[in-house]
Amino acid sequence: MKKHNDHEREDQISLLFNSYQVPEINGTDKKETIELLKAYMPIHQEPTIELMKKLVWQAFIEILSRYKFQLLILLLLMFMTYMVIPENMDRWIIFILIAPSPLLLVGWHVMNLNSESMVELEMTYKYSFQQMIFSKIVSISVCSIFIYTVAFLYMILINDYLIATTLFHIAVTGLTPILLFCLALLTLSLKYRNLMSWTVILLAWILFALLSVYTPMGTILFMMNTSIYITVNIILIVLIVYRLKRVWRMERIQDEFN
Amino acid sequence: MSLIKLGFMEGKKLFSQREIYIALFLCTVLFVMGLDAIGEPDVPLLFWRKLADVIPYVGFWFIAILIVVGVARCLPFEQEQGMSELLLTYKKGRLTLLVVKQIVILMYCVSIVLYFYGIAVFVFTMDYDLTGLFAQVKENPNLYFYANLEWTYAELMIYEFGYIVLASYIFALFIVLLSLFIKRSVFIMMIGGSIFAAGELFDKFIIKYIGTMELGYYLTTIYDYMFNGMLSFRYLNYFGPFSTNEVYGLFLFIAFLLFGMNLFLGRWQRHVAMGD
Repeated sequence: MKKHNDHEREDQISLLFNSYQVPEINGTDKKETIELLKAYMPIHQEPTIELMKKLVWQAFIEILSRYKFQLLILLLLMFMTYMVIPENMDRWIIFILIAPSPLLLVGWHVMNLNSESMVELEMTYKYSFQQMIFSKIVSISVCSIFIYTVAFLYMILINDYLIATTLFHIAVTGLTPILLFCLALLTLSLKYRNLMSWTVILLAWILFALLSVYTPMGTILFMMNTSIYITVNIILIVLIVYRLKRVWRMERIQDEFN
Repeated sequence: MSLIKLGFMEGKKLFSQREIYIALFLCTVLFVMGLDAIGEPDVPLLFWRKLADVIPYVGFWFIAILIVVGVARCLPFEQEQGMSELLLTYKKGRLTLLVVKQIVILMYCVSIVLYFYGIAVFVFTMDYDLTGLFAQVKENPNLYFYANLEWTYAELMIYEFGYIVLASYIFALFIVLLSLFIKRSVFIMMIGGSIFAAGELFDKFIIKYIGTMELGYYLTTIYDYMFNGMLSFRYLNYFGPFSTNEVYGLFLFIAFLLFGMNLFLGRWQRHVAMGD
């Protein structure tokens, strides 16, 4: 009896399901619901290291394609200067003074592109302004250090009489202005986006170069102990890394993209 | 608005530029480093001799750079702030404004020169004896330009101060002249700075390698009688053609000429812009 009732109920349910008309859902409603729910879905984020690598490489390609002629002329001028200047202290002082010139050249580009009138446009970029500044500064610093290394190797070749300690001293001393300008560019491009400030830095560096060549200051600075430069370089690297980390963390919140 | 009030407002605009303070900080650091690099044994009147020598030696570089940085934005300021159309409504006209701007620039030059003398006095006071202001220059003559040896150091310092103010004002008026043709302040700064830096690079470094060539002679002559030569006291060379009084007269003439030329060109440009 009970079995019979169960069968009857099942038949009734299947009849009900078979006769039930599923209401047709509007295609636009479907899409709207999907779009609405998408905002609550976890967003896929690239790993930070991968993103950094990608952006730095992109910035590197952009700088090379945009400044290939300028950098090439700069390199030629640098090598010509080394050849023309006679073998004395001046040659080494000038070698160190022109070490940050690629950074000075491309720093112009970094400061020029990111004027305050660009702020609204930047809000529409896929990557934040800070991330782009980070990638540009890292790529140009690496580029400057690479150019400096190539120039240094060339100088070793043409001055083969120099002993290892002197070479080490020159290598360390030349890194100081590169790191100094990297920090200055990082600070100025974030706090004070104006091409004028970079021009002021450029003029001040020219004055410093003149002072170093014309007064005994260049020789005094060059003769300073290597350990002082190593300490200064370490401090500069720590400051740059600290600031770069802060810059990367300053990225926009994801909701701004949607 | 009275002219004094207008001058005050223009001064406020000039000193509100942040680049001036960046440049002032960097130049002060470099200037003090430059002063420290010149070590000499203590002899009588060294304080006054070094004070007289510091501006012709390296001090004028910093004055020139600060002038370039400050004056480059003086004229394009309104345009860069989007106020150029508003200026057309100014009752007293562009000519008055240009006069006031050029007077404010003179004040700026005076303050920059005073600032660097102040820094030098401060640094030298720590190392040398201050006495001897009324001693004659011949007791320990200055090295970088010719001055009457019968003068006292007080007279020499007053003369030198007047000279460098006039020379820097001429350079500043030249920057104003550039800014009448170039609309972006950054380019004015670059061009003005490059002209000055190229001259110094030539005189302090390149000349060592091309000094024997004929080209070197011509370029040295150009250097001596252009802005770099004015600022570095080359007009007062020991074998130069001008006496101390003649140089003052010549500089005043050049300054008035540039002042008038800037007014004329400014007025002419206004008429061109208005389509008169």
